[in-house]
Amino acid sequence: MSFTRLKLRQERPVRDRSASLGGRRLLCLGAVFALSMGAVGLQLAELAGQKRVVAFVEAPAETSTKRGPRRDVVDRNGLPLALSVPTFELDLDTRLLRSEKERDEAAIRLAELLPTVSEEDIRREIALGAIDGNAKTRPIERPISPRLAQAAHDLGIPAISLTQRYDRRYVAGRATSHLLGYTDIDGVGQAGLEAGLENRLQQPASAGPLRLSVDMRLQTLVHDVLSRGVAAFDAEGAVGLIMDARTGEMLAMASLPDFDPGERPTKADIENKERSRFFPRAAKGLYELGSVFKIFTWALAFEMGLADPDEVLDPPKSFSIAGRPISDLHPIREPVTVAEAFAQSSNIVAAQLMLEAGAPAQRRFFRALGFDAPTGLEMIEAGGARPVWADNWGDAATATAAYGHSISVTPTHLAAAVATILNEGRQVTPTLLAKDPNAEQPPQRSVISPRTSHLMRRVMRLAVTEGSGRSADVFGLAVGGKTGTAEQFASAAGGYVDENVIASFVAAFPVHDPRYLVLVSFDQAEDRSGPEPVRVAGRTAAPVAAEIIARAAPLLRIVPEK
Amino acid sequence: MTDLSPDAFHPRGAAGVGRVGRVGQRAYAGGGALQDEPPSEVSQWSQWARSVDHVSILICVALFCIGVVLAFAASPALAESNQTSPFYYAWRHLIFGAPAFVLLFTISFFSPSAVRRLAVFATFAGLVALALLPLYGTDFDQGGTRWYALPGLGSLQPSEFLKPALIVTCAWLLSASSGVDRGSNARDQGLGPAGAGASLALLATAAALLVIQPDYGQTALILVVWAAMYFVSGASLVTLAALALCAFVGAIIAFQVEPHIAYRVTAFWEEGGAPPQQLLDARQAMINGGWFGVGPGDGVNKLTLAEANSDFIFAVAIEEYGFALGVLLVVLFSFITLNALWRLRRVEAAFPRLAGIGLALLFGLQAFVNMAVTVQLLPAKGMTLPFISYGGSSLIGIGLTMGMLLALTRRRLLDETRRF
Repeated sequence: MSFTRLKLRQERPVRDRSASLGGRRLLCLGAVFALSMGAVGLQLAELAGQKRVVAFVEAPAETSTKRGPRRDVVDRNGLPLALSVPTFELDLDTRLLRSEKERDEAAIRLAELLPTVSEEDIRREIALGAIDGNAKTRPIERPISPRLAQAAHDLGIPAISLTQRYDRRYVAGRATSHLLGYTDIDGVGQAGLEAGLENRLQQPASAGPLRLSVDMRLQTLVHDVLSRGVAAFDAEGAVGLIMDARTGEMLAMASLPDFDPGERPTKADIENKERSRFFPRAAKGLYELGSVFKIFTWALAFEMGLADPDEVLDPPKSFSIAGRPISDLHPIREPVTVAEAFAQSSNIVAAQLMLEAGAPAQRRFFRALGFDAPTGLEMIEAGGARPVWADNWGDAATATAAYGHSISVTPTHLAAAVATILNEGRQVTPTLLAKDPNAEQPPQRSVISPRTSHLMRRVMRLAVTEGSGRSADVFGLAVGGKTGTAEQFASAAGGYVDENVIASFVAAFPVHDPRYLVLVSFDQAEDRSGPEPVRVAGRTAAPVAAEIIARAAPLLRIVPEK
Repeated sequence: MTDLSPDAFHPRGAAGVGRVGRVGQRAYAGGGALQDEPPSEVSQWSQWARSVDHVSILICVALFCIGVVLAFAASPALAESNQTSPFYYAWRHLIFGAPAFVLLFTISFFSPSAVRRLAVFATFAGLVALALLPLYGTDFDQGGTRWYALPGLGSLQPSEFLKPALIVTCAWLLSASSGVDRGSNARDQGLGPAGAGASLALLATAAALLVIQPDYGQTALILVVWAAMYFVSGASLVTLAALALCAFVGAIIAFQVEPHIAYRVTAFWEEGGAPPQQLLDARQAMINGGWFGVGPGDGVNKLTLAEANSDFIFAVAIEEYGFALGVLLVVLFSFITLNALWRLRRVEAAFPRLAGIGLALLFGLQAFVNMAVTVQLLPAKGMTLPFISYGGSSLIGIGLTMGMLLALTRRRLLDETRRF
């Protein structure tokens, strides 16, 4: 092959049939190419039309359940108790820290900015993010304030990601910890009212704050006095509450031990159950509350016409039922009136009265007082707290229940039942939500007659002036009440134990027309001011109740009378 | 025998020529027109300016500008991992543009015979360089000994220069046996196997050297372009079918021998197979871009996308500027190729016609393969996007390709199209 020939050939022009063939083939080639490119264009359109997914964000549970602010909670006077405040979570996307220089910068500048996070903490998180299988977005700090979040944003480090949330702030702190409970990180109620009123609190913010029946001043007062009582008597725990004796609105309700609203139950707390500081005793704790139940025994006796307050009794020195001896702490040595027997808290008289009334009437009465169901209090824990009393109810149970054994109720149950007795016999249902005083309330079911109610006011006043509750008297406030010192059944010890005592005092004031009901209850409180430790309620719960009443009365605008 | 239609005398592309007079207007009419005397008074500069494919040059400049903008977006990630300043690769891309465009403009002045000489020389140089790669080359740990390391300058990939040169040389050889001037005397008219056979031998040599590297992508590219040229040159369909069968067998062998090819192909075809992370990232980037993109510099997938600044820069472009830029690029690349084919339609002489077709397809197919792989119409295959992907050798090779193509698609006197 010579190049001359090659040259000659390649210079020949395209012509004739061949030219058109070459031309057609060229067009064919161009068409195939154009179609291929068209396919690329179509594929591009297909991709562009697909739903955009947020790149890089490993949709954590927090973002998927992101909610608006939860409704605020205010007390009956409109003071804030729980607030939703906007906060931010600061995370670092470690994939965007691509060089040592950037990692240094992020660690050093964030540590400068965040008062609670050290440079080492940040470096550790960055290192963790570099490990395969770990989340690449590392949490650095939460919550941080919007101002701090803005400052972090202004650092201009792309790896910093800020997620807005609403955090719950509890203005009264520990004082309302059991009452309000808490939410989880997503703002879902987990305990207390936060959980019990989840649906209402999830309503949009336009619904306005949720108003409770609680008065923050009284709540902190009760919490404060109760805390000092627990310290003074070295008690395991305590319950204190103030209730509107007519409407059932809880003005204050505290349980001890308690927790800081920022804390969450640990494994130990969960195992501890009823001894845990997360256990809301007032709403959930079921206790044999002892002699305070004599209120119901005497009320039933009056209601059934079995006794009159002024009727004189000469009770036996000793008494036993079904082989079980019943004794009095302060044996009655001379004839007393029925009212005096109440004031002196005679177990024997209580047992005899109740045996006279009979088990069926007693059980009916207990049911009418609400001891057959949870209280209906809005806290989530109250929902499962159903009083415990046996189904096979013999004479022994009838007798012991007359002075508050063989039946376990929550302090809330007791408060509501006593309020019912004193409220002209009309049933009081406890609530934590404010009632509109102008709105018409549903009619209260009548449990006992107003006459019985008035008699009970008298005998309860007598228990304070002459009986076991003398230390609860507050000058000029006409306090009426009843003590209860109940040994608790300890399965570990195989019976009732002296030291394991719940000492309670339930009081109403002014007792001639009860407006407010106060309940104070201590678990294993001991007054060690004397030579011997004393555990009776008259020395522990009653004086604390007096302190609460004395300090609360001015706030409740109840002035002392001569 | 020749095109005497009015269209041939009044080409749209030769605006302003009318002022020179009837002669000049005719002289620079589209490729196939019968001409009068060449207008000797016209300088070489204005000849070039009047005859060259202006629009394609503008598109090349535009593509390079887009490439520079994208390099600033796509390459900082690579710069970070290589511990250099963030825009190191972007600046290098810009700097390599200078020799590429110098080459492009210079060669576009060449006559077809000068193009041929350059190509033949470059083919031999390229083949030698390719042959010596196994001895002196480096693989930069990227699977394939494709580069010469040039201390201080970077690296050189001979195949990028060989590709266009080889295509032009093959076109020259094919044109010798071209069926387009088949006449009564078979011997004289060059039906003899010399041209086609020689070009096939040359092609096979180059392909073998590329497979040794191994670089199956470039091999496939030059094979397809050669087949297209052979097809246009009037090859019998039976021969073409036989060659296609050979190529198919070769592909199956490659599939069997190279596990990474098998992986890429099966990953592409199998529903629910595990595509490489690179493809997933690219897809994510394009979906994220949507119709109008997330905005300049706001792309995030580019940070994790491997080869974001070279083989997968198309995905970066779409993430930041959306479907809009993607389609614009498809249109621009298509336009260059189709416009070149359209102009070459009028070229009668076999060599410039075939060489032009080959170069236009080389350019267009390379762009097509890159974009089609990115949008996942084709199995993964590394190929640069002309003018846009980072890579000095690639950029200069494209300058060479487009320079020669522009030289061949210039409107010429009929005399020149016949003898050069």
